Amino acid sequence: MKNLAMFLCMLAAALIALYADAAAGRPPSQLLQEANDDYGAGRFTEAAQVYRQILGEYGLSAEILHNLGNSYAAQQRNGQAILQYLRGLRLEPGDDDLQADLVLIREKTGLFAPQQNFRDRFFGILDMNQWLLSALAGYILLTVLLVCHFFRPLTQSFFFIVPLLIILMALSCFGALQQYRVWDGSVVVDDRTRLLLSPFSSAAPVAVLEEGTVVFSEKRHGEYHYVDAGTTGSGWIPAGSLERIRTSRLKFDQDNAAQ
Amino acid sequence: MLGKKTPFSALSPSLLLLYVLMILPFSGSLATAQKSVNLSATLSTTHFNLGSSATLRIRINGARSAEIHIPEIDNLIFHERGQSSQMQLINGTFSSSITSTYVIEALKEGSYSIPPFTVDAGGTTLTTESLNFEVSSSSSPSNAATDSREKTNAEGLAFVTVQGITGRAYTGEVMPVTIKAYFQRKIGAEITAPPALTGDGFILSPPESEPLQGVENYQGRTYSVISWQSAITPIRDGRHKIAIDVGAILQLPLKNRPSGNRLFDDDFFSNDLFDSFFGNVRQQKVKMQTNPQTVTVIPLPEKGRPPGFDGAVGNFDFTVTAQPQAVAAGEPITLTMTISGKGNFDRVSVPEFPADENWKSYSANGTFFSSGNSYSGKKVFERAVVAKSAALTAIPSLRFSYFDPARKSYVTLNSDPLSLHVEEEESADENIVIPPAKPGNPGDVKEKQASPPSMQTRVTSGDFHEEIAPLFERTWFWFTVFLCTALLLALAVYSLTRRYRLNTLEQLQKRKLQHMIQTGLVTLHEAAAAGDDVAFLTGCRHLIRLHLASEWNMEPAAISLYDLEWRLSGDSALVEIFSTAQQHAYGGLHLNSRQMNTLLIRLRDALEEEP
Repeated sequence: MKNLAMFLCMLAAALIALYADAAAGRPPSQLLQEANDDYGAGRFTEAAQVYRQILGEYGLSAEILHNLGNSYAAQQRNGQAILQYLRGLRLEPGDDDLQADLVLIREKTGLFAPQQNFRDRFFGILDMNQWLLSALAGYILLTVLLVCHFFRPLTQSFFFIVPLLIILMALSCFGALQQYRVWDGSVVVDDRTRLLLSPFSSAAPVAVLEEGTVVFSEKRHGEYHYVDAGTTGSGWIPAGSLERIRTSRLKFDQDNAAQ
Repeated sequence: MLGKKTPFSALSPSLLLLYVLMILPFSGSLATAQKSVNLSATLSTTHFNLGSSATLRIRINGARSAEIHIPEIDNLIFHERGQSSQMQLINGTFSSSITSTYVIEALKEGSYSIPPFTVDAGGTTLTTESLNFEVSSSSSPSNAATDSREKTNAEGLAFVTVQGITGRAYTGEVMPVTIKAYFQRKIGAEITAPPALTGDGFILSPPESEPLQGVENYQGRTYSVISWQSAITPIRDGRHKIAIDVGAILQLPLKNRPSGNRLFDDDFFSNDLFDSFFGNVRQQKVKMQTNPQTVTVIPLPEKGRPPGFDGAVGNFDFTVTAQPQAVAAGEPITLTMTISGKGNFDRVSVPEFPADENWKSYSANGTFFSSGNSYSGKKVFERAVVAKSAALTAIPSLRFSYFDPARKSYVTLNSDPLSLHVEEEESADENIVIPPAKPGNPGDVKEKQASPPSMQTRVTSGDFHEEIAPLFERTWFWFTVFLCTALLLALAVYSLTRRYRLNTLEQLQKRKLQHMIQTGLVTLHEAAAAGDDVAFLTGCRHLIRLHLASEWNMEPAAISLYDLEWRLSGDSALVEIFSTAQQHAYGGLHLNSRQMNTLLIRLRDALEEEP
């Protein structure tokens, strides 16, 4: 009986603590309203802080990342703005508003994309996750068809659909591989970052990367990343000068706590 | 049901095979993409004199194109001397390689190290090993001197000439030369070393193409001639002696063949091919050298040297085009600058875009398009520029300077200003509220000047995700793949097992049937021996039904004479025996022992032969 009373007390305490915690944290809609008010009033730094708080507390959303990107763009932090737009597009690849703002800021900063050949344009129709999803859908459909055919033989069209599905799957897998480097890139967030020949600060520069340039990190040595910057070339840049597009709520949370 | 085969049971392995075959080409292409590309960088020498040069050869195997990032090193100049590519198809295996050649000129003596540099080829980035070499002053003993001691006298059988070297030349002036190696017609020869330069202060470009072979009359004698087209460029002023070396192996006749043998006096047998075939030659390694020529290299005049002059010497034209010429402010314009003509294109650098706060210019890259040799053609540079102001009406004039050795003066070419129409930047900032700056807060002043690209903020928060990660890192993705694969595997295994079991069952049934027929035949034999025609004919009918029932997938009792006549041929023994048995059952026919034995033999044969 004594143990039961103790258990009930502990349960009540836990529930109260949970309730208190929930009451202290504001809902995302309220935070969003506050951040949008700051943004509308031109307090872009404060707006960015609140957007980051939402991302750290509630998770990543294309809409919040878009607003965060706008706040950075307003502060002329073009690298960060492009980074947040790209993150938003990873979550919502078909978001036209995000796409339009990304194109706009790239035009403003002179970061126009190099001309693509037919293969790049074709596989660029979808991003890596969409190609993977297409491959998976093809595989599921193929499995369902084969299972149905096993129990009840299907018509002759079955023999045309199956090879088509296999071609679709193979194409999708290839597309996903092609898009992997594009998808898993990093963005240069410091202006005029020097691309170095060797991983130390006194090394000779190979080229200068503009803020917002998307690069692919191939390896790391100490505090330097060896990156492929496409037509600009390859070289080493300080780890602090670039941020990976892939991220998580936890990362935002940790960054917010560090600030 | 047991005897029924579903189409899937036969199809599943084929489908799986088809799937693998469809996937394989793609995996193959990936394998090709990751195929090993290797790189080697070698120096022709690790020690050379100031004013002389070393050749750096970078060979990339397994790639068809490559971008080489040569590092910048103090007091060293890398002169690009072209790129050659080689493709081979051996036993169906394709291989390709690229060799880029650079001539290294040192401005100071000392020990040098070329650090590892990167080469982008075949979709990968490769890094070279570091290369070390020493450059000593001209007074120290040179390799050329050592080489001259090794020189072999060709005894007038072969010699080499060079045409095109002038007595005076400016530093950087390209002298196109023709190098010819002459060999007496009666001797065979094989070139072992291409033309090389002996002497300080010059660079010899690698020959522009494969050597040409021909026949020439020189001072009244006919020679086989091998000739190369190349170019010599002075890199240090002063008086220098230069010569060209060519290495060869001569095939000289061992001795005169004995005279009097009329058969072998024929011209057919007097050629080097015949001698070589029968081993009547001795091989002699020779190093042929032209007579040393003295060239006075004049330094480029300091007087009148235009600002921005980068060392281009020759005769050039300069044109600039822009695309597009009507833009909105902030949109990029591509300037294409073409420098064409003859001269040292490795020293032709991109014309600078004039500094102007209304313009933003980006770094340019250049490509050389050769007209068949390294000193004539055109070099095209592309530079992106952005007009920041709508007030701009023209792209400013660009300037390129070079030294013309024919005129003995510097020439500066100015491009015509290109007309430009810049519209106001497309702006939809009407809805943006730019806040008033807080006094004394510089951060906010910056914000006031900023113009956010997006006009609308999102008012809904949308769906929240824990992370941005590829699908292949999601558990559900692999779970689905695993589930589908497991299902397909289970179907395949079930199908194969069922087919195996069916085959086993069929064999068991067949074996059982054989046993029953054998037993039945023994019984028939006993009935025939006993003269029991009733038991004999009933047994015959039963055996025939048993035999056919398994083949026709019917109940034995359901098989009638009509079925036999319909399905078997009219002269079948089984039809005749079955008919006889029917007549006995319904028509009172009787058989004696002899007739029964005859029927038994025919029945046994028929059961063995007919299905």
